[in-house]
Amino acid sequence: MKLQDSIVKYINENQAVLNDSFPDFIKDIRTKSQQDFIRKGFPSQKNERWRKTKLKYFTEQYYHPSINNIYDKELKWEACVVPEFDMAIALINGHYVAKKDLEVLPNGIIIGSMKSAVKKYPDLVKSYFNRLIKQQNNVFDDFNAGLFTDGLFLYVPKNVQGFKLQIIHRLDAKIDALINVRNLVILEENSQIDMIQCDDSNQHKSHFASFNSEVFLADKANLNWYKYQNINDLSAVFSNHYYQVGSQAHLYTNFMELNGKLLRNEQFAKIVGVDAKVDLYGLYLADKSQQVDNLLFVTHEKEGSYSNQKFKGILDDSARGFFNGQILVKKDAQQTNAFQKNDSIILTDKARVSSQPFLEIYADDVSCSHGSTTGQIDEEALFYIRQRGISKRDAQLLQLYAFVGEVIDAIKIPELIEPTKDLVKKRLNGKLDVCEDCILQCQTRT
Amino acid sequence: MNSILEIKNLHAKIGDKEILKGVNLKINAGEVHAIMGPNGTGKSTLANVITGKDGYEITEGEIIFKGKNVSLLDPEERALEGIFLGFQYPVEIPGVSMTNFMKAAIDAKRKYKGLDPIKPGEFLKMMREKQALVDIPDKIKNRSVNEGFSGGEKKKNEIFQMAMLEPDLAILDETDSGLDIDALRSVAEGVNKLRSKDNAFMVITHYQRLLDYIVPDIVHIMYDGKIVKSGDKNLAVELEEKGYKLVE
Repeated sequence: MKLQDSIVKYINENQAVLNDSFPDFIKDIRTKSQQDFIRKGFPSQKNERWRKTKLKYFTEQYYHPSINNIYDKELKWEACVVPEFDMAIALINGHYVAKKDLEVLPNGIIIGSMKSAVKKYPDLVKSYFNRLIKQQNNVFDDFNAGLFTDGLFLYVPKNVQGFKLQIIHRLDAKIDALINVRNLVILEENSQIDMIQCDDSNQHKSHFASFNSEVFLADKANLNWYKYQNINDLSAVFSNHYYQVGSQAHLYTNFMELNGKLLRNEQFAKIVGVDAKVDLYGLYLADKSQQVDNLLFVTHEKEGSYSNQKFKGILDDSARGFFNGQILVKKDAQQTNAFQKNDSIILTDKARVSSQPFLEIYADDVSCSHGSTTGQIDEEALFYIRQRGISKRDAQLLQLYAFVGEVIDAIKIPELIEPTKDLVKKRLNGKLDVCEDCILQCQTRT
Repeated sequence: MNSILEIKNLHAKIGDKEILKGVNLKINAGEVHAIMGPNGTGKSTLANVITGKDGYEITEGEIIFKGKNVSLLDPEERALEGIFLGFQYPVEIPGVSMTNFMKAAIDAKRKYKGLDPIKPGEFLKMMREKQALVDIPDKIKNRSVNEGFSGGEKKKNEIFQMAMLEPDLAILDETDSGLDIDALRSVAEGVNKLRSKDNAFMVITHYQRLLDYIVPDIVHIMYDGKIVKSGDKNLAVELEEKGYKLVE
């Protein structure tokens, strides 16, 4: 494997550059992760969780590691900023770009680059970093931990509420590039924030990117995380999300997976407190030979919590979709309410979707359900709509848009609803291959 | 008199099965034609073939609508030309509101005529007027098309859509089936209000009951894929008395 070999060579030859700028506790994790990655290699389709996902397209290529800045410094990423939000930061090819590299806001929020945060607040970072990720045995976590260049560090103190942050993940290398980003988000008790993330690409180069995030929600903390992925048809993004959810905390995510050669989102939510709430929404749209994977794993450890997974998708041409949703209810997690639903429409004979629910329940007083449907456009409805004078294309769009509406309707920030609807309509209409800037500005373009 | 629809020696099949075996029919502007006949004789097939539903193959004959052969047009093109089908089983379309659906249909029609999309105020006014015409509750406009509608509401909704789109030819396929007498009466009243010297109706029904309210100019009896007998409204009464042995 060309990619694997080149990364191994790169790691072996660049130990100093890769590891020396980090404090010892991270350096240790990095070194171990690099070794684990070298030992395991990229997963093959023999691995159950990768059974439906072909990596070959990428692993046969060479990607330039982006440990050095290889982005255009003149890039006007600020055009992406959603005006209603309090602040925006960017990660351009894995490098943190903002007005200040690390700052403490008047309300006590600490926001900045991971690299700076580990130096300025080593104890704070140390008490959270890798706590959730190390519990898994995921080779992309090793890959990410061993190679990440930077990431977002966000600390929200107790009782601070109402902060709205936009995160722009830009894949913008001028050569085919490896991009590794590592984020850490800590929400203290009774804090609340909204995050909106845009994964975006501008240059028509192939990127192989891993974005890993660890997120800690203390008791009564509340996080709403919206993500819009719109990258070019040559690139892959592997995003692993790890959440720890405390008592009466509420985690809400809504991911719009709109375009990319390969988009893979893995979300692991561990509910460690009582009476918590986890809502995971997602929408995936894929065509051509794109692949989109969603793997969800919600663990209920304590009693009285609620979780809901709701994912919908449309697959056109020879696109592939993979959904794997797991719910684990441990023995002590009585009075758990846990739900899961995955619905897909496939538009052609060549498109495929694989949907796998796993429920593992060890408590005896719980309410859990799962459901999965895969269907096609309703031909009777299509004729009904066309009989009213609406073209076949529009009749299909009307139905497809209605199908995904439930996920869009779950958006809780009013000013995001119209741009999202607009994006989805454009994508369904095939007009959203590559957006020049942030996708949320698309409504202003033709 | 202006001819709206002229069907000449129409043969159609589904797969290998021939359903229509030489239908001839001429409908002029201002007329209401009733098509009656036992189950399985091709009444609904005739409606589907006229409107261009997929799955039917015309093997012989043609469909002339307002002087134009529409046999090969797509369903939406026939609709835009002015053919409307009131469905026997109106389809539920979850997630598409009646308002959006009708707006899309009206705008498609306007675009076909080279007009700009309808202004929101004008559209809402039109919705209100047509709702009143068929006595359909205001709440339906925010609901998904036909979703959770009662049988009566679904059929009234068909008439409402017909009122909105103002077709030259409306084909009502068993609009009376599953309706109680009050709903039947209000559906029929809606149709009667929309009748004019410029449009025409083709009413498919099993029962003479509907024809007490929508009085036809001509009644046809269809049997084994053909129109075997035509007459005035008294033919329906005769049929009701004697049954289909009249044509067997």
